[in-house]
Amino acid sequence: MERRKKRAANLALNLFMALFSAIALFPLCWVFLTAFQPTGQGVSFVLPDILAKGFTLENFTRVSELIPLWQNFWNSVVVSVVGTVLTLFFCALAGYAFAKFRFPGRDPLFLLLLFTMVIPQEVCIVPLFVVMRKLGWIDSMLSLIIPRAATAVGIFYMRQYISQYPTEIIEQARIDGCREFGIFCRIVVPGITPALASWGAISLIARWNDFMLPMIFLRNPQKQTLMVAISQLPVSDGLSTPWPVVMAGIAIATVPLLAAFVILQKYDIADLMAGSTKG
Amino acid sequence: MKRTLALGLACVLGLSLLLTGCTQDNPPANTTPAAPSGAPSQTGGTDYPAGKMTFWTYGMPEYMRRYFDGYAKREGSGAQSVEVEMVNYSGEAEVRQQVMMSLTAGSTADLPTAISTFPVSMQVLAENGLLKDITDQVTPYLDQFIDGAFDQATYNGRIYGIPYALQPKMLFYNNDIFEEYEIDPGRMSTMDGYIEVGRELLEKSGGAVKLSYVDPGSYTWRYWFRRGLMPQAGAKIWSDDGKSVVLDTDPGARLAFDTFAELFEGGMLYNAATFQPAQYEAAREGKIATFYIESFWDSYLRSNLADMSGSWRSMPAPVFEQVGTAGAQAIGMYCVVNKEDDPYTDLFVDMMLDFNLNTEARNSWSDEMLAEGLPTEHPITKDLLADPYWSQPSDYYGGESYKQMVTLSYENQSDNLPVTENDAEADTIISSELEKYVAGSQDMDATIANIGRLLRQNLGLS
Amino acid sequence: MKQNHAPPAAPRKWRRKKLIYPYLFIAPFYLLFLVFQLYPMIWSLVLSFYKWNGISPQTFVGLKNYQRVLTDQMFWESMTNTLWYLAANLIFILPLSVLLGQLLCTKAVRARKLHKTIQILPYITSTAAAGLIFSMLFDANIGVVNGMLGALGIDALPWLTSVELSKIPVMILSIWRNTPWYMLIVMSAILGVDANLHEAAVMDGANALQRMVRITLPSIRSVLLFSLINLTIDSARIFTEPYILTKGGPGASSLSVVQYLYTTAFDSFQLGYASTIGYMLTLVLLVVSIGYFISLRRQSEE
Repeated sequence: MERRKKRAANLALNLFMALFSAIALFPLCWVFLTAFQPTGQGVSFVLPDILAKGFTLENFTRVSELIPLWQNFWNSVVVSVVGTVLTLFFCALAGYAFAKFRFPGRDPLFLLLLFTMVIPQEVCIVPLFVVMRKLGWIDSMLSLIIPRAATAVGIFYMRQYISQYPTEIIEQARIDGCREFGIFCRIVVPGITPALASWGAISLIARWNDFMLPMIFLRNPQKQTLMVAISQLPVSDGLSTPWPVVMAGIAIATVPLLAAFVILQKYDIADLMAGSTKG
Repeated sequence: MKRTLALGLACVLGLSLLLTGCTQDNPPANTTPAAPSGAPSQTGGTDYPAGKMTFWTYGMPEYMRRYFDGYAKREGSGAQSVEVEMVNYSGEAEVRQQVMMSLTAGSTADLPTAISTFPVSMQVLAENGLLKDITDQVTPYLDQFIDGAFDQATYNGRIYGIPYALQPKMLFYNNDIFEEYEIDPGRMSTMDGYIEVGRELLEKSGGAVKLSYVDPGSYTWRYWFRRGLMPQAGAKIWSDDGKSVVLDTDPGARLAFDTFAELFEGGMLYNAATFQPAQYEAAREGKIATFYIESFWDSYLRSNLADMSGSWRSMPAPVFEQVGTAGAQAIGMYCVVNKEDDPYTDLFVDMMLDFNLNTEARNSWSDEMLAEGLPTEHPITKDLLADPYWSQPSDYYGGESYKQMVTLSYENQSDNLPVTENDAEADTIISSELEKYVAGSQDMDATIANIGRLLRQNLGLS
Repeated sequence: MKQNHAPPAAPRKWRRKKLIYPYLFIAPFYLLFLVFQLYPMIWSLVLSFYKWNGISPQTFVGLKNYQRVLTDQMFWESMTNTLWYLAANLIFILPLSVLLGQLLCTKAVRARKLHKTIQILPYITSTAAAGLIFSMLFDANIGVVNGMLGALGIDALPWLTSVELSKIPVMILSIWRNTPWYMLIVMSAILGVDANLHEAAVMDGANALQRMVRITLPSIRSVLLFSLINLTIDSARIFTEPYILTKGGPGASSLSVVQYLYTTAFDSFQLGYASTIGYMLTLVLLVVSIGYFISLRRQSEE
């Protein structure tokens, strides 16, 4: 009796979990079901209809005719990768300073840093745009990379992680005559690879998917990132795009990251990401 | 830096001298019998400096670029070494944002030679000296354009823009439906007739066929009202001095809103976002019988419902019998940016005049566009309109001449609503209330009352 | 947690020379902060007392913009909507992430790693792309959601085009996309809970629910509070979801504050007034955050 009850409960748990996985997966599956549909006679949503309609790769070519797809793709790659590497470096550096040094003004400075997290950047979007224009960074990827080369959240994460790193090793290196920067590069960085990997994954996802700032700073279609270009596919003043073509665009924009994630899953990226927020 | 500036200035000066002096002894390269006075054309020998002439525009600029490229390559244009660059933005507002931001940052150097814009932005830009006054350059050609072509490009008596399109309000209808239900499309020449046809269609099809469409978002205000029912009912948003709101008391506005309410509440409008798949789908399945919309709809029909070739027809938009004019036209125009050191300013004006006046080049360009299913623009000059090319039959419209219908629609236009500095914000307010009406959360009386109240409150008017 | 500070036992001279390094290391952040945050913020504050269309000269209007924002119906509607989005996120995302996080740590659930991989995917999909997908799923005429409802015999609903329903797809999108991230954080915290406590509780005969309430939740309290703060700040800035799905309509029924700010600045060109709206949002966020910080401090004092 007791056992049967437990079994029923387990079944319920598993079904419940399956339901949530289905919900997570469904919209994404739908992208692929639609992206390969021919556009000629409208869109269908019933599975047999979709299968009966056949399969075409034409939508993907259409997308590349509508927007400078590969240029946009490349822009996204540069912004995400360069941005992530820079942010890792500067956040780790500052995190290290906050975690392992004692210097006048440290605590107020750290409090200020925490405080800046609260203020949404969107609030001063107009002056920010003008600053970018003055720097000549409109339509330049620098406008996305530089301002976020060191972020408050990133420094906060790094500080949390580095403060758990044994101080003795750093002291030993110092006594051995290592320079401070050398200590950071040769001792600290190798010691915090899990934190770098996890924060790297988080930054990469955030940058690849970034929307509002690229939309405002990158105006020339050639200079846009993929997400912004894709979001303008459905309608602009001069054209309207069939859904399967939009879906093909979405597939191109989302698959690289999804695939990378699923492949890297054996290294437990998810756990790493989660781990970075501990403490 | 100083030297380039001086050089540029010298070039501009020299060119403008040549331009005024040489048009006569060097006949335009493409003069045709239909346009004897032709567009001014640059003479050989005095070439424009090599470089890039940039435009900021929106929509599908590629089709205009082809024309400009062709012009630059033409012998005698003097622009062989000029590269034409068109930067495409998502809409008129974004072009204005770009201009605004360049100015704010003090970097006028990155402004383009010309921008595509609407009257509301043109006025603000002109007011602040950012657009070049081209009255003197354009005036000699004014009488070759159709009447009122430059009305919306004029501010305080000076001309700041050259139109390339004046898209009239038209009615596109699915002829198959009208044949099936044996209804004479000619009955739709008046608003009353249009509404009657809508009722009849609903009745005969058991509710399946709707007369037209309604957009749940901002297009309803833009297409049904601002350039549609409002001007053709003689409605007003503002008093004549622009200082007070009259929309909620104006009888013309009442007529416009009531007419729309009759269509909408009578269940005659298919609710789906304009330019989106669901609307095309409904049109394809015969659920939408007509589109009351500007002539640009032609290119949307051709590219999104290519499989319905032969089904659609067009005619001038229905009119209120008591007023007698159809909706107002949507202007497409370019304004020249007021930059002293831009060597291409005159080249640009010549190019635009050529686009409007050069029959031969315009016709072959149009053929090229149609062959690829791309948009074209209907001419706005008398000689071109008289050219037989512009009354040829159109395959897509089952042999009926769409071109002729556009020309016909030109003749019966209402004036656009006058534009004030408050109109950009007014559009947001009015559209928002109208959206709530379409969404069914308030009736028409409440909508009109709310619009009046909010306009007064937010704009600080009486 | 270990000792945070370097031991002070070092020669004086060496220490002074060393003192410059930490400042060098943290300088990039503060430099960027000055240029890209503080300076624009001050400028924005000044701007909020002006009327300016970006082209004509600026005119000083004193407190007029602030007076206007207090009576601006559309602003308050957007503020209410934003609070709705915030509430929906807090009410659904936090409990869901605790629930799913716990299930991912429960041995009775099969294929946990697979589930984890699948359920994290929404977070990796961009909001903009997901927004486009959802706008098609929720289309009133030919969307899948209405198709499914139709199969169940329910009439098609105007999800994106009615004042009553338009916030729902925005909320669903936000929950769908953001839950996985918090689920991961919570899961990792749950894994860190001392297993002995659970065993003791099982011995005492506590059931799963009781163990959850009495042991797990208190142990992961700090993580939950972190999530709460993070989620609050993020939700208050919601923009992409309504921008892509509904454009804020119909009317202003799904408009968010940041979106209203964007429209005011970039569509109707009232740059001064847009700055005022921005400062109103900042004000609200400040109040909320100070509240959180106080409770955080009180908690850490306990």
